[in-house]
Amino acid sequence: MARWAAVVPTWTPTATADHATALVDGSHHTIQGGSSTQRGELREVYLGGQASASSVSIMVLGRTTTVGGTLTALRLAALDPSTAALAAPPVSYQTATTDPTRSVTLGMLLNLSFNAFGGIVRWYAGPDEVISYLGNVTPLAELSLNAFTGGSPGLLGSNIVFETL
Amino acid sequence: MKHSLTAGAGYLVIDHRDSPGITPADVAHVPVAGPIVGAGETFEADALTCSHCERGIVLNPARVRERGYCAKCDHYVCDACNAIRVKTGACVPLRQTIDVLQTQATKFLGQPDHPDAHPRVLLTD
Repeated sequence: MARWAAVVPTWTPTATADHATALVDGSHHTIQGGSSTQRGELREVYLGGQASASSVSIMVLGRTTTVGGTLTALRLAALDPSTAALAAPPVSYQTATTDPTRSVTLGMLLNLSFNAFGGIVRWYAGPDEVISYLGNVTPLAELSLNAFTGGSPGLLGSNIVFETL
Repeated sequence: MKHSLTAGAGYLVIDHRDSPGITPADVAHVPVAGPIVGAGETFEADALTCSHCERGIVLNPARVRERGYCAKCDHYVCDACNAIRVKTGACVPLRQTIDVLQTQATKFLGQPDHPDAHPRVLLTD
């Protein structure tokens, strides 16, 4: 199907422990399926550091045990201009009435630790080396980019490219 | 046709050429290991995913231990899934699980109160 880019130009993660507390608004970048049967695959994650001083950012990407509810959707851009609009597009969000909580067991599918002062991270999935999501309810509905405990997460921009199936 | 286990791998780049980078002490407490890229360094490596849980696997060329491999799905698996594989012999790729869940969700679409309408796969936390 089609590939989409979910971009958050600038935000500051908050170091958050597993499962102990919900990820507060604005401290994460999360993708949630658009309907109960929608399936998608992650293709790329890009982080560009924008901090003005050294900021060790222990960024992780993984699943959530509590999914976000009543989401404020952020921009999604189709990578191909001929992409048809989806009836129920996936949601890229940072703000929700019910905040998501990182899973202890599967909350760290990728460890993307870097220094947001001048650092750049790019993870690119091979054709059959993807990370999937399914639906909009637990346990596989969300993939969330957020900061683990420790360090001093700094300003960064993120781009998540995914493909709906 | 896949010619090797690493054919079709993705990649991971962490670029600290113009950054103070991170030190082993910064990430010593993180339960999932990742590349530690210091000041002025760039790390680039093939990146795969575990077929059983979809955790990212960065192929460490300096690794001397046996790398987890499942002959049933012919794919590398992460250390945690490899321990389960060795103990039980089970091979349940996550894609297979998602196929089942998607079929289940489609079958009971519009019947949210049906006892089989919700996924039976649960995270343990």
